[in-house]
Amino acid sequence: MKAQNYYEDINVGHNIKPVTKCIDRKQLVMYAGASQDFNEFHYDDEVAKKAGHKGIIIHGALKSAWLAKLIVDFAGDQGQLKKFNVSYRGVDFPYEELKCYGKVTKKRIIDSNGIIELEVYLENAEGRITTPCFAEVELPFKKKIIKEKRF
Amino acid sequence: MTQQQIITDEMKSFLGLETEPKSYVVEKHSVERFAEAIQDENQLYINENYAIEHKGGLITPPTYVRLFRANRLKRKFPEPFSNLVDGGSSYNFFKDIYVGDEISVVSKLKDLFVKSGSMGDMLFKVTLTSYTNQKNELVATQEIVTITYGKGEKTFLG
Repeated sequence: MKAQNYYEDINVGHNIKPVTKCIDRKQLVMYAGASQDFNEFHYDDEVAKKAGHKGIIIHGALKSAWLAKLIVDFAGDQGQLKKFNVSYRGVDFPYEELKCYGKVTKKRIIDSNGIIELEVYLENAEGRITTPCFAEVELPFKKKIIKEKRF
Repeated sequence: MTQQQIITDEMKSFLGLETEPKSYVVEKHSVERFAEAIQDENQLYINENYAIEHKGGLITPPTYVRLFRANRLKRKFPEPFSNLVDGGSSYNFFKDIYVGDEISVVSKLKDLFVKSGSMGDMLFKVTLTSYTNQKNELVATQEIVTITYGKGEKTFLG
């Protein structure tokens, strides 16, 4: 059973535990197959170099899948990812250490739902953010909110 | 060049045009392979008993929707540039997608605009894709920004 985060316990500034990724060519080929994205820039060095890269590049959508996982793990089984906006500002490469991390930037209750806003990033080995992301998740309450009845 | 010179009336005629719906049935092994490829061991994607207990069945990772590609339009967009960059995506998730669901996908061009940068003029295309399940519930949307620029040898970043 995974630990569950609750709306009441999470405050602005809460840091999400960082995850480091360093993947190989095989993982990119696996993602190409699983996602049906067979663009050669992701597994053929010659094609990637011709396009001006030092070698094959990681699929942007794979990076976004890692960032989404970070957020979904934070939300837990009872939480729900609602919004996920990701921008690709730079390319990343296999065999390099990439850090995924994030923090809570806002919390509010909308229609009795506990909404948490987060900023999540993927940073390359030089400390440059290549993939910033904004997300909204709904977290469960420890105590159920009972809507006030007005007569 | 100005925005008016780059974005032709023919390009504008693509705005709002919807693709024919395309349907996909979500397969258990496809979700397993995807979860393995993104290194995600969330039991809700791969462990049927656990998923039934916690969600009523196996569900898909959020970005799995990218596998549901929309049909192409019958006409080809008159692309002025040859280099392509995936600028990013904005997703909204409304309902979980379950293994066994039949997802219908429709896509349309929502916006076209030009920006100038270090690579010269760049054409931004915003495409809105909607994913609906067999109960006619909108389960997710994705807005993809694709950027094209430059002439010559075809390249792609993404």
